[in-house]
Amino acid sequence: MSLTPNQSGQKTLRKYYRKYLWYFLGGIVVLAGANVFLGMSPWLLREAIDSLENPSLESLAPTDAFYGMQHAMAQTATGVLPWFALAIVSVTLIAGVFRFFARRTIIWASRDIEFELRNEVFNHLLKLSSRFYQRTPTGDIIARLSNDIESVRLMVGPAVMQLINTVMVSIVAFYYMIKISPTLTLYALIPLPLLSIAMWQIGQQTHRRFMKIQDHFSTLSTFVQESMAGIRVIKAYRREKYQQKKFEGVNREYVRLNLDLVKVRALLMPTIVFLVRVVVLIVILIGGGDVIKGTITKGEYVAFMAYLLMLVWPMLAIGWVISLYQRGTASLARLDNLLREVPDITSPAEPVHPPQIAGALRFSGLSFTYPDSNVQVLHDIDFEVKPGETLAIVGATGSGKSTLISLLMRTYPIPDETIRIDEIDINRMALDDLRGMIGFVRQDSYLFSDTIAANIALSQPKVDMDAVHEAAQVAAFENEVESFPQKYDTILGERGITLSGGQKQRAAIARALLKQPRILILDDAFSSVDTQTEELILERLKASRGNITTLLISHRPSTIRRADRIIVLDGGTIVERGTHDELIAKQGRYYEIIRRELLSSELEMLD
Amino acid sequence: MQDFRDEDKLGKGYDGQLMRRLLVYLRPYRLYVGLALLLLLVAAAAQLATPYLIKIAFDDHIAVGDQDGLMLIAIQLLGIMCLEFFTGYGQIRIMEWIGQSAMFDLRQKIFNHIQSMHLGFFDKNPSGRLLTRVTSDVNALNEMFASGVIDILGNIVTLVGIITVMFVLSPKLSLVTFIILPLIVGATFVFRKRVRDSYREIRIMIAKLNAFTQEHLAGINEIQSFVQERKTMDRFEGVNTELMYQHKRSILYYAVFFPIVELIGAISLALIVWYGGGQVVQEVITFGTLVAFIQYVEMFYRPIRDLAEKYNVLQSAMAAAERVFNILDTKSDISVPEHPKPLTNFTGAITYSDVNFSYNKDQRILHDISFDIKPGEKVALVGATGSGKTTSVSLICRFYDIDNGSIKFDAIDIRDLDPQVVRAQIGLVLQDVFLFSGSIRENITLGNESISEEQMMAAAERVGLAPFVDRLENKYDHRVGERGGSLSVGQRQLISFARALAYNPPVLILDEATSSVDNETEFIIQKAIKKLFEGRTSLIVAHRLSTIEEADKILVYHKGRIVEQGKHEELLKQQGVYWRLYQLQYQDQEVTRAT
Ligand SMILES: Nc1ncnc2c1ncn2[C@@H]1O[C@H](COP(=O)(O)OP(=O)(O)OP(=O)(O)O)[C@@H](O)[C@H]1O
Ligand SMILES: Nc1ncnc2c1ncn2[C@@H]1O[C@H](COP(=O)(O)OP(=O)(O)OP(=O)(O)O)[C@@H](O)[C@H]1O
Ligand SMILES: [Mg+2]
Repeated sequence: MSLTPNQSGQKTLRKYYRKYLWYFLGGIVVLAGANVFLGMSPWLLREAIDSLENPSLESLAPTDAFYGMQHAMAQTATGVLPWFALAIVSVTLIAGVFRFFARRTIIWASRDIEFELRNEVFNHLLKLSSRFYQRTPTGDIIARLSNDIESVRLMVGPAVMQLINTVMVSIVAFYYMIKISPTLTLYALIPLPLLSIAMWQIGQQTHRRFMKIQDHFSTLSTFVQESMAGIRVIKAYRREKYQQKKFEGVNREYVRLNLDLVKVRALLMPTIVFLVRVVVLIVILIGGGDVIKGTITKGEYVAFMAYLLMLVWPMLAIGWVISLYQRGTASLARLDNLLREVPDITSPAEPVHPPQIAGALRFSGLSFTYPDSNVQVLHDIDFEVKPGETLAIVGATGSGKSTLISLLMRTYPIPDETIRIDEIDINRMALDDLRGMIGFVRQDSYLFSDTIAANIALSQPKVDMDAVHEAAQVAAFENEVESFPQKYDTILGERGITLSGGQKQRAAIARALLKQPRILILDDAFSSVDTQTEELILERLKASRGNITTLLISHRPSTIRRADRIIVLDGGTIVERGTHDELIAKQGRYYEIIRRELLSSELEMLD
Repeated sequence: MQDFRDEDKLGKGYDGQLMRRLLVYLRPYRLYVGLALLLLLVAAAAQLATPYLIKIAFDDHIAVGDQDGLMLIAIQLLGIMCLEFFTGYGQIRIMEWIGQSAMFDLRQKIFNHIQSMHLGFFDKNPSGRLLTRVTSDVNALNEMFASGVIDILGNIVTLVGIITVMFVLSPKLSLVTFIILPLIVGATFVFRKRVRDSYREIRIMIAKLNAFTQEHLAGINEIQSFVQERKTMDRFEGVNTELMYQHKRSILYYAVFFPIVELIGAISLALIVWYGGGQVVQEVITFGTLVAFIQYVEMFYRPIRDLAEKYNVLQSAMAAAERVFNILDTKSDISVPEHPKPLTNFTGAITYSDVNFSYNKDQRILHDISFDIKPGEKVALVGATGSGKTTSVSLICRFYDIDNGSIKFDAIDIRDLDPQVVRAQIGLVLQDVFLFSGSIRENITLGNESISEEQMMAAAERVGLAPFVDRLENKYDHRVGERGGSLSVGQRQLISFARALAYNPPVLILDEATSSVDNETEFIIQKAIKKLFEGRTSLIVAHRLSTIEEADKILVYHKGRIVEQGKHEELLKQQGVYWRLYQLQYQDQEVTRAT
């Protein structure tokens, strides 16, 4: 495992650390305060015990912090005890207030960082293009956005708090321990190097194994997500058992990887406990000897032990911190992979803002190959569309029609000067301008699980019902929506699943129309709409938006022949162009493609 | 219709029951739980022995200056330490194994359960939410399964041990120590309620966030082409903010809770110093006892604090468990008859009589649908969009149950058959194409091993997919991407068509199976199907009338009713709805015929 992803991941976090610096500094101060007060408690204990042994206060160093207080109240041992008791409670109370603020600062900030980091990643995701989404399953992204961010948070919040706490406790405890007996403290420190070596080893292993778990968690999420989304197919073909079996495999592997991590992680706590006990042992042996020799008092000895015990839990917590740190960096690397994905389609630095779009299109010498594929889909495409004209693109399945028009939206990078709108290269336009002027109805259009109104008004900041009605009217969707019990407030299922195929398509058409586009693209947008309704829509479209440039893909002759001109694609090359009549007369490829439809009807005519 | 984006808040006071149900998942591993507990007891005993040994070191050796005795104690301690190490390691491994195994079972169970749900369930639950149930909600139970139960048992045992030892050492002092125990219990209860509430919200928000992410990234094309990045971001931030707010609420509870528990511990210590100190002076107890007591109090409050903390952490698990069991308790609307009737030698006769159907109570979709399909008939369903064609055919697969009337296969009501048997009769090509992100082969066979490579390829050949596949580098191993994203829509449709053919079912249902395919390819497919399905029943939904003309029977749908039915010529003669539909194509033809 190289360290590079780790480090660059930390770079991602650095800005957050900087932003919340005051919270962390505050946390340090507050934790220091808490521990100073908590540290007094064993000291008070020492005083109390020693007062039992030796009620006179002569042995106390005059520098002692409680000298005055004790002096005042120490008459007899029993007389002084309630005061000690009260002091113990008071320091804990004060420490408690500090502790409250420790959580309020550091953990608080970690939630803020989590929030902002999640926003940052999501915002970045919105900028990435089709190319990225083609190879990244959404289940994987969800896993990162929820699971990995959480483990990063555990690193920046609880782990940091614990670490600071441990350092503070150590300082305080060592302060008192050294004060009691420097040599004994030194002996107590002997196992420390061993501890750090063990931790380092375990930490390294944790990182690697945790990374594998998270990767597999993505696989698991993707599988589950897909099994839910494809449920209709699974049910229709009775593949439930098969999916369950497959899931069992994925599930089992997840468990196996987790247990793999446990093998290492399980060592952590017992190892630390063991080494801590070694320290206790050393102290008993040597410290006990010291008491016998009289170099330290019994009270000091008890207090020394108490400080040691005070260190036990923070030390154990260090094991936890290491585990969290290693998980956090592994997850951070996975998030960083997303963040380092460079958006390959961006607005140019100095975009040209076209003043008034007439809607002329020109494709010149456009060839295209999908990234991550080696088959050229489009070859040297040349054509133009005049403002207000309707052009139909015809061709067999897979001939490249959708690819051709989606490039107009800059879904994939294309060479300069290959597509122009009003003679401006689309690569030189701002993305928002370009996409804002085109109404694009995709072949497999996607609806959101929101109200019908919100879906149609997607392009608007606020739903304007008049515009929605108008667009739905043109898309011949209005009457149907009005017949739904909730009308435009009907909430759709995921992907619009609760609408019929044709209703979905018309919702998508209405949505594109509401954008008031200069250029309208209809990619097989009527395939699930009956011919009658389609005719109606095309008529209304012509009446209300007659002057917009339209690109039309369809397999229906009735639709195609309405176009001003037609281009015919075959294997990614334009093989014919002209009007419907011209192309029919030519009896070429176009005629061949739509002949079948005519032929079968013609046969019928003979009856 | 209920807003399906929101989840219902569950009723409260579910606790004891919830815990009992969770424990069921540990039952298969009870032997291991016992073993882990045993190891824990050993470890706890070792832990308990340490302060006692120190007391002896104090009273018997240090006090009298016995160096050798001190050495002996040290050796005993060393032995205890080794014991502690190995039992500790073993115990953690076993506990984690139990936890992982229980989660494995639960995860599998939820997945299987969701897969068995009726389709209406999926209409209302976004996949991102279901995903959360199977993945992160189950993971939230880890704490509870892996360490929760055992730790709690272990802590209780340790507590009992400490209490015993303390009482043996000094009953009076013990009573003084425990006097404030009720305070801890009280504090825990107060916090439990608050923390649980915010955890409930957190689980809901996480599911919401996941569903939002899933949906908007799946629709990223739409967001980008409608320039909605900003708005989407704002909405994401909204959900994210709510989540953060709930988290912060729980932080506050914790921030108050822990110091309070610590304070209670300090009060206890103070009482010992006060009262115990006095007793030492009065020589009622030895000095060593006091020291041991002080350490025991530390030890006593640790498990208590742990318990209290665990208890609250468990609230998170409980909140997740609520959601998980909520799903497990939702039963499928499609009931499988206890003694399904057998369907032997299905002839392909399908009868609809007076079928009424609605997805939601307030809107009836199908009204009194009746028709009769004789074995081997080809039936076409036509009608305007949204008139109920897809709904009609999906009822045959028993995806939904009808309100009244009946659908029969060979005179047997499909509700008396096993739904699996019903679906086995049918090859359904859905209007909404779905491809899995595997290879083309996997998408055709769906992992069914009884479909041979030849059958798979023959199916691809028939739908005209073969020439395309042959051009691909990896042929049938070509990976199609999520939802088939790296293929053209027509190609996806062809694959889903090939799937139906490869399964070679007695009845074929095509719901606009070639709507995005060019006419030429469609023609090829039609010819192939005609040969292949000679004598088998088929139902075809199509808008292109050329597909329909040859049908034995045409059902004309209008607003959820069948308004006309009969053969093509008969319907034309009626000059009704069908005739009007036909006119449009006819017009079309006139134009082309003229040229
Ligand atoms: N899962 C669902 N939940 C609720 N309502 C639904 C669901 N599926 C469809 N509907 C509604 O039922 C009606 C009939 O839809 P159906 O899909 O059967 O139409 P269709 O005739 O197949 O139309 P198309 O030709 O457009 O595919 C529509 O109004 C639709 O909104
Ligand atoms: N994202 C992608 N990555 C790689 N190849 C792709 C991708 N999308 C499409 N293709 C391939 O590019 C070719 C053209 O696809 P396109 O979607 O443009 O066809 P089409 O003419 O619109 O077909 P249809 O009529 O079926 O919609 C097809 O062979 C397809 O497999
Ligand atoms: Mg296409």
